[in-house]
Amino acid sequence: MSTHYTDINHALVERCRQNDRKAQFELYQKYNQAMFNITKRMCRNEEDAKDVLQDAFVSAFKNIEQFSHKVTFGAWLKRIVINKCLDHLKKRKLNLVDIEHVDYKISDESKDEVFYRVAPALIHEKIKELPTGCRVVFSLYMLEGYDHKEIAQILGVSESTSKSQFGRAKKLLRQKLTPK
Amino acid sequence: MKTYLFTNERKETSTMSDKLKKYFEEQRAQFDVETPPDLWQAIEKELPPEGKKNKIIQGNFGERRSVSYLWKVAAILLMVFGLGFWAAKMTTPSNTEIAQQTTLEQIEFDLAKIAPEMAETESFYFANIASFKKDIEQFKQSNPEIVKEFLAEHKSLDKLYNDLKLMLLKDVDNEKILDLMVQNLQLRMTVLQKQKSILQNILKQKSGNHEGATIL
Repeated sequence: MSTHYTDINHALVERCRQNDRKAQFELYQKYNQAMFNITKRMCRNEEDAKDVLQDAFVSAFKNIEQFSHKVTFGAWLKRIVINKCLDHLKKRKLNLVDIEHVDYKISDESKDEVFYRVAPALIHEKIKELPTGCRVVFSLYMLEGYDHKEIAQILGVSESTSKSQFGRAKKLLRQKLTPK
Repeated sequence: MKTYLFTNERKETSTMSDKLKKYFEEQRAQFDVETPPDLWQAIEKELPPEGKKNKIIQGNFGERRSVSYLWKVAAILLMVFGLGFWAAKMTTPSNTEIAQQTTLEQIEFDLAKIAPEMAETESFYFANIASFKKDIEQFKQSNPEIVKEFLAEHKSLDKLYNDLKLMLLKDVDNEKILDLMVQNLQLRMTVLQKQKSILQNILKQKSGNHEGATIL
């Protein structure tokens, strides 16, 4: 598995290693929106989302020495952003344990129809209304490219907890998106 | 613009059979609807001033490695010059013997006489080196062992420098020796600077900053 990605940001990253302010600003501008939307979905609260994002960018630039071009800069930064979000949520006692272990049928595709009908922007809004545990799992799984095994690892829960949280999120979202 | 930033990392997982996940991935950019705040000024404030390279010890590694790299360079230089010195000794035994008998004061005096510029350079660096060493010694209370280790590491460079000086006294116009002497002094400064910043960072990490920022 020696897939070597050609990172479009290679030159910028190298300049950042020299603490080049312009290069740092360019990378910030490039990723600000995408990353802010991640922190917003994960932390929900505007102020927290800002703080976490700021912290993540500072941390990324200060630790740029550790970035090894094994993944793209975007992927590396996203990892930092998500870790900062999780740190933040853990401080706020993100509770993943006390959920009802109902067997949500993930494969029940017929019910998913509503997700195709509404605008992604609306889904984004509704994701933010979900309870923390299932909100995080749903975001990581559906939008940030994680699978349940990875989610279980980073959250320190079992894979089945991740799956059942995901099922719960989907069910709640369906309800929120279906007109009454 | 947003979508292609992440295309590389998308993995083909078994969940690709999950129709909904696939749909979300196709629509990924449409989910990022919120306008971000301008955080740049706040971020910039927290970054080290421009022109200054990042010096952060994360679990002590990055920085340590570069210091040990410098020591490797120093060790190699020492070996090369040890050999050169030995070779010189073999060819001109009498001269070297005389040089070795010369006292340090004598050397200092001679250096000022034969190579006044070098003597000036030396006194400039020596003053700086002494003040750096003083700075480092201030950490003795908090990190006695590291300070001891750090200062001990300078002995080999000191010895190398004196060897170079002896060689210079025999071969005044040798620019290579002069270059190496200056390099030696500069290397010592660099090492001291690094050592100082390591100690400062350790202190910083000890006092507060227990946030436990995780970077995977």
